[in-house]
Amino acid sequence: MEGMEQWKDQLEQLKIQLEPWKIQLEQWLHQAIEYLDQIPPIQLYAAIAVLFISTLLLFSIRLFKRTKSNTIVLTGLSGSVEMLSNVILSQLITFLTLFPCQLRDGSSHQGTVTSMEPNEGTFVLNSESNKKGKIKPVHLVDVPGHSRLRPKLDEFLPQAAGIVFVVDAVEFLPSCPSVSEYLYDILTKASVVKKKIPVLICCNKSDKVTAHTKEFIRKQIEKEIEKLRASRSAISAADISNDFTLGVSGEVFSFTQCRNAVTVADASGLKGEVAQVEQFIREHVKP
Amino acid sequence: MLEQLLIFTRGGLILWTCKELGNALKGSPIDTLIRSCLLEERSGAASYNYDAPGASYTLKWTFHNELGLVFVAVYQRILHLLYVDDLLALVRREFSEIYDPKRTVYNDFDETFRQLRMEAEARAEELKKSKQMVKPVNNSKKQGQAQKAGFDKGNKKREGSSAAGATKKGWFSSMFQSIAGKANLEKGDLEPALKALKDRLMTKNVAEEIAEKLCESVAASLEGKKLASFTRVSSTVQAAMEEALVRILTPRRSIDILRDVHAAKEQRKPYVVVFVGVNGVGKSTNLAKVAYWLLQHNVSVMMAACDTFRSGAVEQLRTHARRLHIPIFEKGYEKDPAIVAKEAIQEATRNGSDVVLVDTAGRMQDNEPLMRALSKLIYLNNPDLVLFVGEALVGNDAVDQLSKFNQKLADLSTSSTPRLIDGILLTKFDTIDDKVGAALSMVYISGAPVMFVGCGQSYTDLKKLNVKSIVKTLLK
Repeated sequence: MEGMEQWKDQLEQLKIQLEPWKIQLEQWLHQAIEYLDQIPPIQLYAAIAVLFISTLLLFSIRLFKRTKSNTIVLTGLSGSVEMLSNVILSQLITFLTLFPCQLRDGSSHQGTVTSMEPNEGTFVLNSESNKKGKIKPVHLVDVPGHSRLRPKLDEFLPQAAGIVFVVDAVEFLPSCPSVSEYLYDILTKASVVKKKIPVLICCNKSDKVTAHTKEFIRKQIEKEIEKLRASRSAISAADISNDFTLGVSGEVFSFTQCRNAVTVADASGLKGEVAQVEQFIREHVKP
Repeated sequence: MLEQLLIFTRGGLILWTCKELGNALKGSPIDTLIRSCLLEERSGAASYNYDAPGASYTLKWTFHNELGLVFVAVYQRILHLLYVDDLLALVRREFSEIYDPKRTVYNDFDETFRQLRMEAEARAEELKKSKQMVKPVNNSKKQGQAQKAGFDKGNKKREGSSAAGATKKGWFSSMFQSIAGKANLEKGDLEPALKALKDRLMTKNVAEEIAEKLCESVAASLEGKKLASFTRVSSTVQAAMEEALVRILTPRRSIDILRDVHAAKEQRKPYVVVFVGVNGVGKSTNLAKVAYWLLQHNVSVMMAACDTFRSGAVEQLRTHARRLHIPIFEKGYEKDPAIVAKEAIQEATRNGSDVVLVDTAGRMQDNEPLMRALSKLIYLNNPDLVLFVGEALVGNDAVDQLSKFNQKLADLSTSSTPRLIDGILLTKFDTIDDKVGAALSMVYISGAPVMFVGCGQSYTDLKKLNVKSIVKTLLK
């Protein structure tokens, strides 16, 4: 009860304090109305129309711009079993961009551990850093592939202009089922299918002798996805449900059946051979 | 001696390691710590023990949430280093002063670290001496020394030490705070919100121990963070908890059984699923549901009646088999279930069945002879999937059941790499309304995903767990 009374007192005091303001405000309002009466109505209508049109224009520009995002999502599996650690991803980012400079020679960089959070940053592509004219920087997001962190991907996909899916070309075969499952989950996400976000499967470590070719990797993933299509037919509530299904029923799956463009490229993060990835990013993030 | 001290960002980039210590760590304790402790919402714990061939380390850590930094200290377990917590706090304070997100090399920190370490070691030494002399006063002495160290550093502020300053504030100042954004969250600010959240989780039937651990972990990840403008502490805590819950409930391994069945089929091997659990949770009923679900996908199924303990169990399974028109392998009662299962798998290989569903006797987690029999069954037959069947009605007992089952399977197994529970089947899910806490308790304690949810009496009442709706219900 005491608190209530105290509160009431406070309110009373506030009211007294606000009294002069109130009078001032009323005076201003009065003046404004008088001023308005002096202006001819046609001018008033014109002013309102101009205001209306300009807001509309602003909004439409906003909407138009939003479809052209500059976000590229980098992802891939992580973990010792899959033998693709985030080291590779960070190397890729390093070679694609100028940041962080010290990392590029590798000498002063202390190594990495398993990521707990996505890394992101806006960069100017390395090859274009000394080009003149207008350059649009690229917003790169590296989402860890650890299965516990996969829900994070959903936060970034709606704004993505493209997805770079990194695969280890050397240790590919043992990890093929889990890699394909992760890719399947990405390709069937509503945000990816509806906006037709292009996907680049980037076969990293292609400089190694034992690396598989990108054609081989593409075929293996297609085969594996064909199996997943059978197991995810969703005929009962006990099946795993995805937002969309992949491919055409009755036909063997291939990436050409996807509504969004899925391409395969070679890359070597260690040697800095990332021309194809750069090209992909340039295609989808127009300067 | 301290083995190693690392500073890295939450993104995974190592910023500084102690080169002086320079000992190569055996195994990969840091990655293991992150995967099996920090990402599993166990960061509220005090320390983590890492075992690898030839090494047993204890790891301690602390976060700087505002800057997104993690500090980890590694030392041999046999040494009880008293100064590690102190040292980590000191390192955190000093490092946060020089941290710059654009920098990746901090060689100049070496010298600072050497001083900090000496300081911490000297203090631990002093503490030891004073402990030997006067035992009862040592607690207050420690506090006094810690405070003294704080003053020694002069004008540098000491974070998180003024947790006691959570006083009552007027409505106006609290409103102003919510608009302007608070400087840094302190433990005292978080406590009321966390307490409310813990109570809410417990009303949803989450085991108390787990609700407690989760709240500690969320507190560890929020302490020192800046509160965004126009937000309250409670909504920030709730958002952090939601993220944590989604992370826990997201399966760590693939839950696509059908794909694994097809893979086993290619190798001309039957896919073996063993159903385990305590008495009366609905093992046989849900085994029949899984069989029906597999039949829908044109997979040939065989049942193996390995409950040779409870009278009537074989007859019950036979009834299900007859209704579903699938073969059943049975050898009556009083037989060793491990042998029955082995023969069943051989039979399935012979007649070309794709899946063998093995029904076992219900057993309490404390029943030693029955647990040993189960361990033998699993060791002898090496099934593809060990499915723990648990009631959604269970509360605090969920922790005990699952941890004891896992423990006993590990202890009683004769092989060096024991098979543990791979997945969970939650039954009686239709009877619990919004008390869905058992799902969270079981997944948190075992790390295994919920493969299916049983939600009714008929064969079709089998579902996949919807993570989003569970999280929503838990926080409602």
